[in-house]
Amino acid sequence: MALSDHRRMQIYGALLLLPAAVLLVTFAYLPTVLTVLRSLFLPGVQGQPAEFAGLENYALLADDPVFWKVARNNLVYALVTVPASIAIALGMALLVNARLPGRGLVRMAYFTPTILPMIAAANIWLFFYAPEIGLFNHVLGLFGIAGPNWLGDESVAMVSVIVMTVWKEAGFFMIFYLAALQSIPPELREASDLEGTGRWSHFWRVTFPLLMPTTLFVLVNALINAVRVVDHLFILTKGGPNNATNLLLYHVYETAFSFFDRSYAAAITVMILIVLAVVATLQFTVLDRRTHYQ
Amino acid sequence: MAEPPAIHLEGLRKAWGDTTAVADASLSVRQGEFVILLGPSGCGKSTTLRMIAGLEPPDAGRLRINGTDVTRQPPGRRGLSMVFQSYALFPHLTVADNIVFGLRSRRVPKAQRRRRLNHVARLVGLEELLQRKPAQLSGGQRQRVALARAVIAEHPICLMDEPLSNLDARLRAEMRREIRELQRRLGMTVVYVTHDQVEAMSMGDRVVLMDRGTIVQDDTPDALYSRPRTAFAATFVGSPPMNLLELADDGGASHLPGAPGTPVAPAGLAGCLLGVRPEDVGIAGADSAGIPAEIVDEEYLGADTIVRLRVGEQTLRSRLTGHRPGPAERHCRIHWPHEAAHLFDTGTGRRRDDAAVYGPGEKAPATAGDTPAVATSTQ
Repeated sequence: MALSDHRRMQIYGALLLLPAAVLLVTFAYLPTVLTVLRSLFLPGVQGQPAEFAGLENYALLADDPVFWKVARNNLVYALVTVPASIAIALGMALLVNARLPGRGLVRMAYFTPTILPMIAAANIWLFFYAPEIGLFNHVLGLFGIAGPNWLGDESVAMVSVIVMTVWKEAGFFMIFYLAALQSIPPELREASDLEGTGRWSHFWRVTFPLLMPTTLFVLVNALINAVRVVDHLFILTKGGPNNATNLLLYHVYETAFSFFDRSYAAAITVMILIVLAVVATLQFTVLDRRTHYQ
Repeated sequence: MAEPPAIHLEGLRKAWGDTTAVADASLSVRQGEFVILLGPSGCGKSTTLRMIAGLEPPDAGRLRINGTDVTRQPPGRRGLSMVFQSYALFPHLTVADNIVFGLRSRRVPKAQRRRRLNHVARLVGLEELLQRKPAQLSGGQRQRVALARAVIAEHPICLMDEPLSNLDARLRAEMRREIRELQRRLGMTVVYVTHDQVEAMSMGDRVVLMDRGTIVQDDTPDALYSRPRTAFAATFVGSPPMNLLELADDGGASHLPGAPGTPVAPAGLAGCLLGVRPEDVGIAGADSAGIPAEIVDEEYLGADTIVRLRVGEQTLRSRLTGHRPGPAERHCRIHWPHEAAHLFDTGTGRRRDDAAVYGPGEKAPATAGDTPAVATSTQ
């Protein structure tokens, strides 16, 4: 049977999409669906088949103080690391975009943390934070100050983890801001100068609005990273002390592979997915409208 | 009391490492004058303009605006506006916000901002487009926004850096007229940089021709065309450019090599350059008076025809009005009036007015030369 040209083109297009679709389904959509399904069952004990439990896992979750503590931790972690790393990244980019001597060296220095694997960076900071021999307490000791136990004290441990994360992330986001700054034509600054516009005013009225697409991109990435990257917890605190630095993904890992409650872990994962989807949608709909794309 | 010049440059100099962009620029612009900085790319005209604007600090020299020394003043304090080649519009702002950008920087009250915006928008014909973004405008409309932004400041001085070079030819002709009109209406002092001689000749009250960082000639368009000061000025202005012919000397008079029978200048000018504009070169039959030449080819341009001719080893062009059908014979005689001939020194390229030139083929010599210019066809 002869196919019409239109039909032939449709098959052709579908075939082109097939490889990407197969990969996405196998590694993204299928696991997502399986996770949602698993969260509706109780784990089968000793070879027993899993038992359908409806929303029981979610009910348990709602009453679990550890889950809420970890969720709150993650919220604080995101609310501090995201704006802080974006602001520092922008500041560093503005600095190394200026004509200053040795700016190649400074750029490299700012970017170095990004090249390091998270585990390696965490190991370096573990040495900084160590209570007796650590760099910070050693320096503080020179001034006669007894430093805190940076990672062991419940009240400062989260701050320590946040500081390290900001140090690691800012250099990476700086690169995006630097690229965006260099695409702004220098005549805009000159036109502003001729009108007697001050530096501060020029930044808020011209540079910052023109960087909005970059800010949006960086913001989405930073938020995803705040939930997605927990490698440093394995080295620094393992979520402790008393869950003070525990984050959602690390909590999922613990639940699934230390406590072997994979159904409960699946329920937490579904909650993370829902929250992330809502946040990403909000970002793109609200901020997109206010962003100028060139 | 004499009014101080709007802009006064005194020995301005700018170099980057070994490259000297502007060697020594001295120039005075009167109030309300339209001055063109003309020259090939890399001649230092844009750098000169940017030094006036305060965007480049000069290495040496002084700059006065309305009598006040502003050499060390930042651009915003010099009381001038500028139109950039790339327009430098803020892409995220609407046309209206772009135009009033500077007024907001200067904290002009909102009511006055709106009044001035409406006035300027009408002036340049942008009333309908005030809420658009620059990306939604055509090249000509963007040009108008840039112009409006410069005009609304009500600064008496406006600098323009090749503002029309990004427009197509038809729009350029239109904008040329509009800018000139606007400048006259508002009485602005304009310094306008271009490499386009048509813009220079048609818009300027005065044209400052630059080459390799120095000012070659500072004159009215008419004087620049009719009395070029150097061989460079002679060839840069005019299309096709002025013919420059090397002279030879046989002891009695100077003539073109290959045409010893027709003297064109007194003796002692061997190696000097004789310049004649193509429209001044006339062509006559082989049996009339003049320099014997050979027609190489013809180029018909509609209103006129450019004929290429050969005299000895040198070629020159003649511009004749209308369509001239090619003559049956390639041999002819060429002539020009003595007042159309210019003489330039070989080494310096400077104009020489010390030696009288003849008009080959002229009926009666106007200047008393050693040899009468009519005594030609003696071959």
